[in-house]
Amino acid sequence: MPSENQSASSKVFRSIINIQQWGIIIVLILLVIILGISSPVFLSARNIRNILQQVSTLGILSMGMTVLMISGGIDLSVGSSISVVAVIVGKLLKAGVPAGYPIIITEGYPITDLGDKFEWIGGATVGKVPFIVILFFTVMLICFFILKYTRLGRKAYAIGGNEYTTYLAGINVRMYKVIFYMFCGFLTGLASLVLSSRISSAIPTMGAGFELQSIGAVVIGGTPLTGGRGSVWGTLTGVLLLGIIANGLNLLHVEASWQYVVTGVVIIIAVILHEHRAQ
Amino acid sequence: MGENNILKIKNISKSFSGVRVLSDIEFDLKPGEVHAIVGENGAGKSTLIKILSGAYERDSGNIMVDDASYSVLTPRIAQDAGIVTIYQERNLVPHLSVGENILIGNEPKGLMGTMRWKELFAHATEILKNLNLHLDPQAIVSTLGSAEQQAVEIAKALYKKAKIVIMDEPTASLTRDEIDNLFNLIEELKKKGVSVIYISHRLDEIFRIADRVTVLRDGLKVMERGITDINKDILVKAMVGEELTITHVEKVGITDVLYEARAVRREGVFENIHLELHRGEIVGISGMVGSGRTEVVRALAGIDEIDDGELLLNGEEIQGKSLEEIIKLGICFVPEDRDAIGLISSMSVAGNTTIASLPKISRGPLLKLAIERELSEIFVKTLDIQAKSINQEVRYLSGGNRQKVMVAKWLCRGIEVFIMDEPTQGVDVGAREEIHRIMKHLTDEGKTILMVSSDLDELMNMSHRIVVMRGGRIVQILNTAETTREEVLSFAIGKSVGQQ
Repeated sequence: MPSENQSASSKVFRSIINIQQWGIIIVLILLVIILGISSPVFLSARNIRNILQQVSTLGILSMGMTVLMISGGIDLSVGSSISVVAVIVGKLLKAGVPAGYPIIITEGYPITDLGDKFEWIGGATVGKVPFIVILFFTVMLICFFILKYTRLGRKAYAIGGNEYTTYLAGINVRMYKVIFYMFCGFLTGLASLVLSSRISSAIPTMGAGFELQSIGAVVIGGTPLTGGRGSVWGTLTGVLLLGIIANGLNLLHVEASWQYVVTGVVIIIAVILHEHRAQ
Repeated sequence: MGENNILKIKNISKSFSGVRVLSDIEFDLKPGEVHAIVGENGAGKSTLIKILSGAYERDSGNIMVDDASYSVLTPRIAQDAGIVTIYQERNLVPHLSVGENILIGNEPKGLMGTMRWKELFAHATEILKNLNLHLDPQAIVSTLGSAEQQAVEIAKALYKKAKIVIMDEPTASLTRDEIDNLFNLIEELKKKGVSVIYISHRLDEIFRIADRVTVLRDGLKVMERGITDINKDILVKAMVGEELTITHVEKVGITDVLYEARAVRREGVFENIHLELHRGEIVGISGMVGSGRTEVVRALAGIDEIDDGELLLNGEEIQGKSLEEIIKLGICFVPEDRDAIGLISSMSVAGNTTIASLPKISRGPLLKLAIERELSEIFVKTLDIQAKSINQEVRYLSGGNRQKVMVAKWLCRGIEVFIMDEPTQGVDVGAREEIHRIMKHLTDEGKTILMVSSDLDELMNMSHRIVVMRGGRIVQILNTAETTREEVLSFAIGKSVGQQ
């Protein structure tokens, strides 16, 4: 019996290793070591909590994007969607007004002071853990469950792997593709609420750049643009990597524009690593 | 024509993953000669010309062009040596003009590398005139018809000083008039001393245009004759070979009609398709490439639409139903192209096995992975699928094992009518027997199989009846027990036995 248990646990361990991208994990560890040495506050509990809080929005968004991209889809509108949702919610909270595009609605001005109840989402903690971090991990676990243990998830892998074969197997591919886009849209909405609640305002440009960051996180995590493979654990490493880079560069007082350069380089390295692995 | 050969090939052999497709082929070509190569599908014609054009590397043998020996032949070296291949698919830049396409890579350039258009079109006009072609050199290639594009390719070959032009089924998409034009063009080439290797399964054409003919069968050269020394009967016999002792399938338990096609037609593709499939029966479809056989079986599987006719499973019309419903009724399609449409190559053996039967392995929306594992392990065992585990991605499996996974998918679903396109293509001998065994087992259980195959032996050994197709029509339905390979092939290439 014990030997069987052992093999089972080593199986689980190996499958985790397989799922996660070794290369990215090494990069992640190196980064943590370097930043830990060069900045004394980096490894402080406060900073770690800070990082997790900061990546939660991107994380929730990227989980939806992971499911969508595994099914072979991609959504370039998530950035603007975040802004639209935030501003509409902001307006509604301020006193119900018709919807429209964010900048038109607000004439470019942010909506601030959205009220205590709304800000609770972004500020609340459970013990010492921020509520939105718990939300992020919950979303991640739900996505993991969907992908691994439901027919819906299986269909995402199948459609991303070979849409036509899946169609020939008698699956309504078109309907499921719509569902995956809707799912990604739903999590985009949730991410938007988290973000606007955390900064307690709805800014018309707040979503800008999120589409590339989330796609970047998913790709770093090993889901190819063509779909058919991928996991939420991979995306988690991608999200953490981007979050740690941003945080670390902040701590080291590196100019903000350099963050784009570093992020870009990391994505390129990630893609090369995956290509290498694929061969 | 003298003794000198422009091309001399000796002892060419080629194997793909252990399967020998060409053995010790000898072939030669004289200047200004049209030398035809014929053979059944899979006889090795394509492999031979691909070796000549540099697309494949030969395993052994000697190729001499104009007395120069070529130990290595890449597409580039072949072209430089004067060998130009004209494939069925056009090899032109569609958005450029005829003239630019003919002179591509050698356009006359002025100072600073600018194009000298006048000179270019003058050159092109001259070449076209030389070949008696009435084409506007300034016309954009994409606006031309298929036959005219082919003529442009031939003009391009001539401009490149081709000594040998290889034509692979050049008349496949041409009308009668266009074929006449092509033959005139070939005559022009001959006059200029250019030699042509002509591949076709249309025997009429070969007797019209070829000077000599070589017959390949199962990768061996079985005959080479001057065209005046033979007739069609001799040629067909050489293509088919000796009648093998065939173990005919016994007709046992074939009873009621399970699936029926009545007057099925798709405009311009196939028409008047009548077919009855009985329980426990294997029906083979024979026909050359382009006879419409794949199109028909796809339509019968409910994948592609038809314009007219009825498709009845147990008397129930399947037209207008979704693929999901058709599969539920019990019809499946096992395609020829395993990788592009047959399998999800990034998915595991288990995932592919169960993808058409997700309800079977789930409770409500939730998957029961234990049931999936159990079920796929049963299929891996019964079909003897060689995989490291059921979790291995199918792209790592061999052709035969991938084929078995495709079958497993539908066995898992529970299917009555299996429609299979080339079930053993690219599969090694062992796996092939295995697949045949599975097919027989299926019919023993009262299922029905409709199989397209290019392999006459397979058709003769496996099927109860053989449907022969040509030009989008069923030309004959033969009882396997009462026919010969020769007869099947004769119907497929359009020549009935005994009539001259």
